[in-house]
Amino acid sequence: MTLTLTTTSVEQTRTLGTALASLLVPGVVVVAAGGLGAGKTAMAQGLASGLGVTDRVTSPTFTLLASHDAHNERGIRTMLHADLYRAHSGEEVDDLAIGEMVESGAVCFVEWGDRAPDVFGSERVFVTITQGQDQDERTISIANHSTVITDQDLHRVLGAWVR
Amino acid sequence: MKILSIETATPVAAVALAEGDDVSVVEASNDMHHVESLIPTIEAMTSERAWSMSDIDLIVVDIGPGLFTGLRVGVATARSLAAALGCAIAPVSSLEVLAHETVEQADRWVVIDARRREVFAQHFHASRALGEPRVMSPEVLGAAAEPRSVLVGDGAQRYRDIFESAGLTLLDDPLSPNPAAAIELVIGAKRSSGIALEAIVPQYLRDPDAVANFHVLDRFQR
Repeated sequence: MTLTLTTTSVEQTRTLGTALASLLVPGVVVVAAGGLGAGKTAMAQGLASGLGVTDRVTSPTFTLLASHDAHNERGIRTMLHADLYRAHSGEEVDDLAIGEMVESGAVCFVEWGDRAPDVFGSERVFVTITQGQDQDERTISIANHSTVITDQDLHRVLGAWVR
Repeated sequence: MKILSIETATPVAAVALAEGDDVSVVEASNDMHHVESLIPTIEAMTSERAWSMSDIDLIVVDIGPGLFTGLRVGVATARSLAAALGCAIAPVSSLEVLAHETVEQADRWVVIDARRREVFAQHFHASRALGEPRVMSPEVLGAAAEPRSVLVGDGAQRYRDIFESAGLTLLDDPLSPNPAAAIELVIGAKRSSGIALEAIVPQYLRDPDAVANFHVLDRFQR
């Protein structure tokens, strides 16, 4: 199932991230696509806040991967945050072992994840952010490619954002 | 000869020390906390035997296939120690160690959990490998293995339902490679230990299609 949503500010994109967090369970990788300034990091920050991460979240552009302790009631103990902007090869992304690490009570948000979409395992949610009509408007498509999040829940939590 | 063996290919990390027939094995961690547990375990075991680290003649290390996160710790630890102590180092394959432990089962597939709903698997008959190690889905392995084969390893157990419904038999243990068996394998095979440190790297079996699907950023995206 794919939902197409609209946000009209960075704050709304962040809030959408927080809403998305309430759907996640350990093992899920959010594969985020969208150009520079699209709002991927804002969504990651909202997601972090929804997972009870207290660290300051910025894009790990140079380290590729950051790990944050998470505090929530859904068994997600770690939020991994990857940024593949500077990745050079599929092997390099595979070496991050994201698909492996999320199985230990973690979720991962991968900026530029569409660059290597197939190395994260089978529990994936694809988020694609594109520029809307106005400068601050974003069209955000959320495609559920996981077996652990039901389309019903996706619609219940995010349906209000559909325009 | 004093030998240290390091095992980190699965969530169960373990260390073995051997001197002749005197062999001891300790499980360092079973929850992927390999970084925190490995060196303290080695220190405790060597001091119990009153070995100085510089007494160690050979380090045996499992280079996988297995979990990336575990192997990196094990291989980096083994290489650092070998470099610091100036001793020999010998790599072993996780699948070959498990095969060595189950050599009395003539025909078997050794199967290690690769996460991401995949397994690392290799087919053995007695002490001979019948093929290369491969990464595959449990369903593909279930279809490929013949009923006369038994399956062994943590990957076999994790997908027990799939393998059993394919009519295959599982061994309940061992689940993870035993670092003492790795020492036996190295000694028994009289493997050359004159291997360059740089050549000791984790064996990451990859899904070739998945890593090939990599998109180079074009000018517009940058």
